[in-house]
Amino acid sequence: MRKKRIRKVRDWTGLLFVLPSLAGVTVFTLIPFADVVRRSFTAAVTGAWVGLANYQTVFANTAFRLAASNTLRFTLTCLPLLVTVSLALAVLLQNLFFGKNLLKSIYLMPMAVPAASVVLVWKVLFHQHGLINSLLEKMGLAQVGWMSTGYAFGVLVVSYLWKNLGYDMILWLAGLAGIPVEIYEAARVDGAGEWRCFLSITLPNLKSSLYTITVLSFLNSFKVFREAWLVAGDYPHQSMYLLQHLYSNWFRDLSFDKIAAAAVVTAGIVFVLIMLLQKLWETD
Amino acid sequence: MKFFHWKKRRGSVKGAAAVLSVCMCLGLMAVPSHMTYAEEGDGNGADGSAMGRYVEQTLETPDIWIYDIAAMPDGRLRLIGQTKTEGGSGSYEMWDSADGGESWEKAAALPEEMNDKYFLNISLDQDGGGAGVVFCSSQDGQDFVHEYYSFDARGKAVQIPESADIDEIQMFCFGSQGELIGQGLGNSAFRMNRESGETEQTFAGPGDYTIMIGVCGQELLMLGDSEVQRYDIATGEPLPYDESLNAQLFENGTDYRITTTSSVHIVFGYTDDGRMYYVSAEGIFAHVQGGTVVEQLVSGGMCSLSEPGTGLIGMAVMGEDFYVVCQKGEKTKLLKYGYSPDTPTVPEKEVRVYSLKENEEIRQAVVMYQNAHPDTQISYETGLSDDGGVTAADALRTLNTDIMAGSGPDILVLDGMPIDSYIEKGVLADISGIRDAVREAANPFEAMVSAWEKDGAVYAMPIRFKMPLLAGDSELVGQAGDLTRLADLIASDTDSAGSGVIYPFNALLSDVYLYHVCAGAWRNEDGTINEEKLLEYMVQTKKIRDSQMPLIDEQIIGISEELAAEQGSRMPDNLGVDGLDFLEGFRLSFGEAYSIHEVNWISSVNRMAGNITFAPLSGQQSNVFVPYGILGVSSMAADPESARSFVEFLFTDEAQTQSLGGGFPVSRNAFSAMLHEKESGALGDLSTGTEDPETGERIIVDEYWMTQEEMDQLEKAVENLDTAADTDTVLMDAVLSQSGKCLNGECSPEEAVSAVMQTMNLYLAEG
Repeated sequence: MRKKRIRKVRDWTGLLFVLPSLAGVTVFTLIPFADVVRRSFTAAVTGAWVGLANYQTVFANTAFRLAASNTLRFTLTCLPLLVTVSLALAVLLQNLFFGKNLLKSIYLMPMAVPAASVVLVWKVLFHQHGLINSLLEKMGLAQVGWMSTGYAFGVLVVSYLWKNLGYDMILWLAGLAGIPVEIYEAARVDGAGEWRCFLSITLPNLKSSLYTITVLSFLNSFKVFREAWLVAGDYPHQSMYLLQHLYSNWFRDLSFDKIAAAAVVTAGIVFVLIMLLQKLWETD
Repeated sequence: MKFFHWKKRRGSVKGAAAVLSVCMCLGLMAVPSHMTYAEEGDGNGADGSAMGRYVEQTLETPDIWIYDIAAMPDGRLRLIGQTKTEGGSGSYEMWDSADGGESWEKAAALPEEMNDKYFLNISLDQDGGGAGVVFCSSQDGQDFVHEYYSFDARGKAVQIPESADIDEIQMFCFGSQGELIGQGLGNSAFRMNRESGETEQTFAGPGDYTIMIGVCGQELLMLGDSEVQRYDIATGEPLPYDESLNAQLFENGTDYRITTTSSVHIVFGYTDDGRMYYVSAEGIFAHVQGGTVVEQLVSGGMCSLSEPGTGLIGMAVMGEDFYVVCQKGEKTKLLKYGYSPDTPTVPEKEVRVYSLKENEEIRQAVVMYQNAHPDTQISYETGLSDDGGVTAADALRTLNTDIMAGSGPDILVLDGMPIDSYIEKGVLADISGIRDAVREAANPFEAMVSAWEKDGAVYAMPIRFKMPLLAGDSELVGQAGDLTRLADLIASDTDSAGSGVIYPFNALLSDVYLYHVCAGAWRNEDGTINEEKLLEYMVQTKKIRDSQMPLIDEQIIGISEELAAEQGSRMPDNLGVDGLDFLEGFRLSFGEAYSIHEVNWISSVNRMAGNITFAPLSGQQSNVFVPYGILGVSSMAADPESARSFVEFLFTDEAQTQSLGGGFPVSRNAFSAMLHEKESGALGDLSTGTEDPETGERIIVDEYWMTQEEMDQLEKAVENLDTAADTDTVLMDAVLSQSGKCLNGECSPEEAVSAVMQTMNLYLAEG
């Protein structure tokens, strides 16, 4: 009886601690999202019920399909690259004897650079008359329309990797630090080499970190819109026309019904993906 | 040890948190102390609403150009001004009113020999005398100088001798004891002896230079560009910095720099109890010398003070009434602000008007409407700031957020906005009822008020329009046809050697000047873009530019590039046609005419040079008009009746005859009235000058009204305008950004078209 009472008190205490944060999330995230779901079934300005008409419009919209495919392509390109390169860097850094902290700072610095400054650098490098084209010209090669051709996608990928590499590397380092050294020692005693240790000890122990890093990197991938918009405006080259461009333009045209429907679809897909990832990790 | 440090640290962390929390609470409680609004509502209305506010009244004055006004100790008001005569010089007269400005009697006049003198300004002292600055030629006639005159209440005038230590006086004012203060050139002011002109005291202004001076009793105010410096007139000692006054004067970065010789942007007054008053476009304010509060007694937004083009000349305070002399155009007027306890403090009705950029005609109409309807307040706000910190797209997103939140404006000025999208979403109400009322009252040009008619409903109507115009050599104007013909004509002209056949900016920016007469032709019926026609536009505008480039001065190219960089957008607000181009040797000029005076200049130059004419400009479309001030009423307007009333007012003759650079009125009645303001061939009010390209001599050109034939020609051309220019800003930005590169040779016309199509395909795909 006494144990039950204590447990009840702990449950209520726990709830009270969580309550302020839960209230904030409810007011600023859950309720607005519920409103978005509601708006996805109504007309933009009049609020009249239209059923699934908005969803039909969105799925039939070629701009949405293009933006969605670009966003998916970007995610599928960047995520594996970012995860693997940042892991490799973390492993290398962990085994360094000196300069570790300095290198960590250097890799983290891009995160501290404001988007506007990044954009300036983009323009200096990738403009038609920018640094890279000038170098190409001096080498006798043809100039490239970095932002006005398919290369724009590559520039976007490079920018995303450059900005987020340090962050993921730090997360990997934290994961690596959590692996007991004794396991490696025991493995080496048994004759395991570096590669075998990496495959059989490091990777399995980093699974939980992998889940966190994947999810965070996926969410960060949406932030690349800032630089893309600042450089190329509302209508960039087709290869870097992302979902946020479309939402931003629909916002300007007061197409809130389409934004709501598209946002619900996107959120649904992201939610399903994350749940699948979680299930995958739990199964393993 | 570690535990001890943690305990100590935890205690200090708690203490720091407590201190920061207290600081935060104190910070949140702080309020700005320099500004309060006057609690004018002393009384209570029947429904408990606050009553009482200052009401504006325009007073009848003698037919003079008023230089100053003063309130004299015996309760009379005195005006000083110059009578108006045709071509000659009028007399400088002083008129008094003993009944608060209702009637006037001539009290005195300056000597007749002063009639020929041109006073830059005159200031009255409390006794009815005064002093003034005269602008005249030097004795040898080679230069212009200032002379200074003082006069008494009876008009007896004497010249104030020049002082060796004063370069030049810009204006005078008087202290409460009759001290004469002169504003020097640069950054100084002087207390001068009225008889000998000797300097008794020198005052140094704030910052780099003094814009103007004012007096409040025994206090001299020297207004700089970011600070007002105060001095004791008697001792010459600087007075303590007045934080509240400075904060209020420069709150919004207001610029008080004087831009005309006949008026200023702020005037000061005072009463003997130490209260200072000042008037600016923002209203009338009161401040106790040395106090911490600046009270706004009259809001400029609700009276004539905020009318565009209004300059201030002087003010007087008598009892609780304020008298302000203003300049508007070629006239002065006297406004009285008296307290009315029966008028609601805040008007019962409010109409909110929104536009992306400032529309001077609407700003003007707001003031006029409020004067006629004291129960209605019109709040006019703009989305874009002057510093370019907000883009049009950002402003639209903010506006859309407000609309969706139900707090959007009642009236939208749709220039630069996605009109079709707003119509489709039901944001705009059907205003065909307003159009019917306007048809009856104003007899508008039908094509213009029906441009946004869909399925029998009208959603938008412009209040003004600009007319693409081609002017120049009669032979060339007669040969010009569409875009291709025009480009061929310009490129093949071999008669104009040296400077080129067309005005240089027309060539450098041929894509911009010809945009509105071409853009509509690029739309297929299904709304997609016709690549062929777009390519033709790129090719022909490039042809025009390339043919003239070798003939254009490098300096002009540089200026054009600088202007383009400053403006941000390649499409400027006005693309006027300048008749003076033809005196500089050019044979053709094109642009968008927006006032009768532009066409008058073409006519005036024709008088001098001969063989100059004008015609509507055609590109890939003809008979195009560029709508301006496109109005729509929100379907969610809080007070639709008041909103409609204001929109109807904007089409009345009173509003339509106000011409402030926004274009011709869409009201046929108003257009005709403006066209026939003077008789054909009559001398206008303006004159300008240019340089003879061969001799370098200055040529003065007086404005003459069009001949009857030219008036008929213009009227006929306007009647035929039936095609609204394409106003889609996404298309315009996409095209002009690429056409600029194409004209500069950075890409080929095909590449430019390809880039535009890419953008437009995305835009159209978004639906």
